[in-house]
Amino acid sequence: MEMTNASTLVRAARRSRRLTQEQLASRSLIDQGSVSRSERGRDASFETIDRLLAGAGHRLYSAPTRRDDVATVATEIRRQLAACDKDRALRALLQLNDNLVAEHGLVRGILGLAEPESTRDPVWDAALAALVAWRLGEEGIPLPPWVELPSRFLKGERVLEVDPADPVPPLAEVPAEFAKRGVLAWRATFESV
Amino acid sequence: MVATTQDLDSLHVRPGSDAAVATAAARVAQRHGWNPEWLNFEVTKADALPTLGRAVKWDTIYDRDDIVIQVASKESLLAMKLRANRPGRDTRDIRLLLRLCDIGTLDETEDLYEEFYAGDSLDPRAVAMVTAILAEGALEKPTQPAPLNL
Repeated sequence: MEMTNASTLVRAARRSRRLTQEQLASRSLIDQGSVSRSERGRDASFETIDRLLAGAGHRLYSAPTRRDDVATVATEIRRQLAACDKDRALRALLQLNDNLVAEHGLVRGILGLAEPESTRDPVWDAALAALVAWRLGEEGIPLPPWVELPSRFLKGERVLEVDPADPVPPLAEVPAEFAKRGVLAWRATFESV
Repeated sequence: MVATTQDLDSLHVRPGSDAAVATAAARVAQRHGWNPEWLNFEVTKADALPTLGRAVKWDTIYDRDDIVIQVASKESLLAMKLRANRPGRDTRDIRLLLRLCDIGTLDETEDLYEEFYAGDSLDPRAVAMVTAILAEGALEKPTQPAPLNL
């Protein structure tokens, strides 16, 4: 798993505000080419990152954790799906699950706070929201608004299709937040042993 | 390094302290930027290890100074994966291990499982997974990794 990097944060912040690179460039008084370079990890100077995040209405804070947040994990899932590796995409989702479970209270909430960019697959976008809603909800932590966006709910019921031999779960075996969003995933898949 | 696993489920087998091992592992994690719980003892709490049936065979892959590292045999790993049977998570491992263990029928799978977990039968979800895997037909046997040389 890639560690959090500044380019992921900039891209997720821009997309969560529904901005194009040009729009972010004009808000940050930076040319579009530089936005593109930053998002590709070419220019990661603190000054540029800070300016681009400010243009998207975000700023950097430090949190007392070394674990990856949902925005970082979503980027990894998107990368694995693009490479047609659903097995690794699932591993990334499970790592997010473990990260959320390992932290408590506000820090757990922080891991779910920043809206992740789309993975380009609606089932995985819904699954990310479901996982964050489930794990934050179980500690009574307020949910970030992005997990309730219509784009995070499927029209019908779908499975993650990780392995063709995976059985489809009965609804009783699906965590409520997944069922609500139409993602048929087994609760057991998220158990650590 | 090619990342193939998130963590190592570990057992403490010799006299000593799990906490001391975990602390040393956390130091290694910090040095390499790994998950601090990459080496953990959760598996011992999960009723995953066979205790009543066939004994788990351990292969030693490292034995130097005071450190001995052993891994469970493929048959024992298959039995443990069949017990966990988490869709998406264990499916691929079960498929590979069935082939490595030369198991081609549901009956043989159940026999192996019951050898390790005496008096216990395969969970219906595991049966569904194994049935679907076997229905894929005979695929090539994966190459068994060469003995580790640490």
